[in-house]
Amino acid sequence: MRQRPDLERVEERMRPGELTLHGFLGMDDRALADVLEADERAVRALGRTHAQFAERLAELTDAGRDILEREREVEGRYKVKVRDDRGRLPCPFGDGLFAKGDTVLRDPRTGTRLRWNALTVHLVRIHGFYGGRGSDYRLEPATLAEVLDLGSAPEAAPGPGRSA
Amino acid sequence: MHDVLYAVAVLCAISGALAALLLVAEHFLADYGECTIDVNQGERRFTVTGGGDLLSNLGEQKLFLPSACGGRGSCGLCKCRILAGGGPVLPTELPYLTEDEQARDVRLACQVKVKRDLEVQVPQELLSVREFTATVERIEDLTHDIKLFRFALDGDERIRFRAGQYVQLVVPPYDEVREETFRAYSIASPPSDDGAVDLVIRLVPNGIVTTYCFEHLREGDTARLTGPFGEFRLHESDRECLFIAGGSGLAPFRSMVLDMIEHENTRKATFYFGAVEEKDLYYVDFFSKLAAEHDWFSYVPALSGAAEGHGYETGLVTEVVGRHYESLDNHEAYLCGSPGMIDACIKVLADKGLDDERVFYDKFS
Amino acid sequence: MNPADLHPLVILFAAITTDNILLARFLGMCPFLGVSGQLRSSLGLGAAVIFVMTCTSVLNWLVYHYLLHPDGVFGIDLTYLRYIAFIIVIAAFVQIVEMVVERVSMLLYLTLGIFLPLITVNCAILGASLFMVTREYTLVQTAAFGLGSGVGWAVAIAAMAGIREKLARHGKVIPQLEGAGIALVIAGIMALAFVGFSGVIRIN
Repeated sequence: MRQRPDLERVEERMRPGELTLHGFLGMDDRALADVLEADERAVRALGRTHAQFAERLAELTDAGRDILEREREVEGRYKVKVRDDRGRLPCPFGDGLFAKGDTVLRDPRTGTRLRWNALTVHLVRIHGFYGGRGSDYRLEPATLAEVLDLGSAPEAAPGPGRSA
Repeated sequence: MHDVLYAVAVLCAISGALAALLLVAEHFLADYGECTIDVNQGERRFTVTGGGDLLSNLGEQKLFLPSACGGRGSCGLCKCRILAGGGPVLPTELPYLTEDEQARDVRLACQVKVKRDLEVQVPQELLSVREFTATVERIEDLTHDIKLFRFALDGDERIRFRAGQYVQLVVPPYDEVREETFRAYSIASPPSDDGAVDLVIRLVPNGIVTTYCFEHLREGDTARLTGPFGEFRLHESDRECLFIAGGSGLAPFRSMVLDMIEHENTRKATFYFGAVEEKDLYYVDFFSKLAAEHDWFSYVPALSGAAEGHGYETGLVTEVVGRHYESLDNHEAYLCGSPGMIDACIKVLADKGLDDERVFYDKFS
Repeated sequence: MNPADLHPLVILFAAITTDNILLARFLGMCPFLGVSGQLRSSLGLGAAVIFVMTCTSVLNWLVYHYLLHPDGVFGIDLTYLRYIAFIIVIAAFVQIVEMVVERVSMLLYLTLGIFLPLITVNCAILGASLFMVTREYTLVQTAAFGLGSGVGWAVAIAAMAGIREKLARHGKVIPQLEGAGIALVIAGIMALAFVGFSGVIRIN
């Protein structure tokens, strides 16, 4: 048994063409369990929690929302464009439906570009899933911590932490 | 030597006996016999072989419950009430049912297995939902990311619907997509144009169906549609109407306005369309012409970003609507667009005194 | 110690404690390490294992003594086939159990879910049947042993899950030991604790 069968099923649903065209795993060929574990360690090493990242992403989406989907400047630093699309996407873990519509954030200061939506934020918050390597929707925890300005970090976990 | 033969024989005997036992068990345990499904207190009634799920069984009887996931239990759209024979609610259904729904015996049809006679209650309008095969008659670019797709229904098929309703477009497996996918789009053609369905579709990044439509669908290809669905429609009254839309939300209003013209409408109606720049507008000539020909109809595009001099009103569509009216106590509003736009419009309309019972919307969710 | 002397109840209790198939005999470790993260799923799995282990050990006793043993129906010594025969019986039994559960209670079927077919490959199930052979148990003793082993396995996995849940909530595990590492350490300490039972009852 490489990984629990129920994670196996979730991984199936994350493949391209199942729920979205390109799927959630990008070019990552690791098992889902390994992806989750690696990001769990990375997040812990940064002294953060999944909830903190999710809250911050949701906050930026709310600030960037525009009824005509124009790009807005948020907090004097980020350029955020929030789309609204019809329909809902089911979570691959089977625990709910989420509004479609991507948020794209550009940070001129670091040149970073991040993309997420209500479903990927839920995946971060509840399942600790940040996207597979190479996916358009990959949210690298270290990048999030560096770029998103989360506020003061609590004490980092002991031991050498490595991001995935 | 004999020993080897004996060993093989005994093992085969044991395996054979167990396999036979399994077959017998399967026959008795997995066979549910014939079951009767009664829909809406006898309006439709049919007998099926038990064992399958309710959604597929209804589909085979041409009774289509909305579904975006093809019965995999991940969209929560195939809700119906099961008055008898449904068994206990399954854990796979719970994430999609509110407490109120659970109390009213609402279930997900794709998760309910038909094991005995069932009494099912579905929304009445679903009894007239049908499946159509169609051919792509025309694909037209409307903006940089919105296209019109006109589907001509095959044979002598006719679709009966009210302006404002939507259909589900069924996309077959393609590239990496291994199963059918369904998505909802408002019908942009009027009910009188019943041999075809016009859909206004906007490309969604990473979207399964819109990518298929934009990159694979060609004129002459076949397609499947089910419908009509939806509660969004023009209500009978004398009140002046406001139609407000953005992006692909224009679709139902094209249907409604054409329908109103055919029925020799006299109610005053104004269509406000919000966009950022001129290049985001489409069907401008179409609506302008209708506005010129019918004095009860006005067309007001509202551009938020463009510079002056284009001849259109400037500002957010909500601001433009606000400027046009002092009070809205004897009006009706119809909204179609993103939840953000709808919420913003509702607020402006409420501020002008429009009762929220007089505001109707298709919230794209 | 002559196995015939042991009362089935003695065997039952011993199988749960001193001869715990998981903590004393180290069988059935894979799902133990892989699934014991949460108490709820562990209890579900434990219940399924108890049922399968009891029934298959009895069924296998019948197969062994009436079909494979020289004193049985065929009159030749086919006892060396017991490994294959037992596995076939276990696989078929688990299939039938799945069908019955699905028929009787869809709710239970979905709750146990994927655990049911997984039980086929749990070596503790086969182990219980093989022990029954080496120790020459009677039918009643076998039933007691199967039930006791199942309960013992379930108790062990539930205890492990409880400990891991608590550890995840309150403790800090160094990154190098997370996952299988700490699980094995916990298993070892639990096994040590169960050694404390040894000598209380002896069934082998």
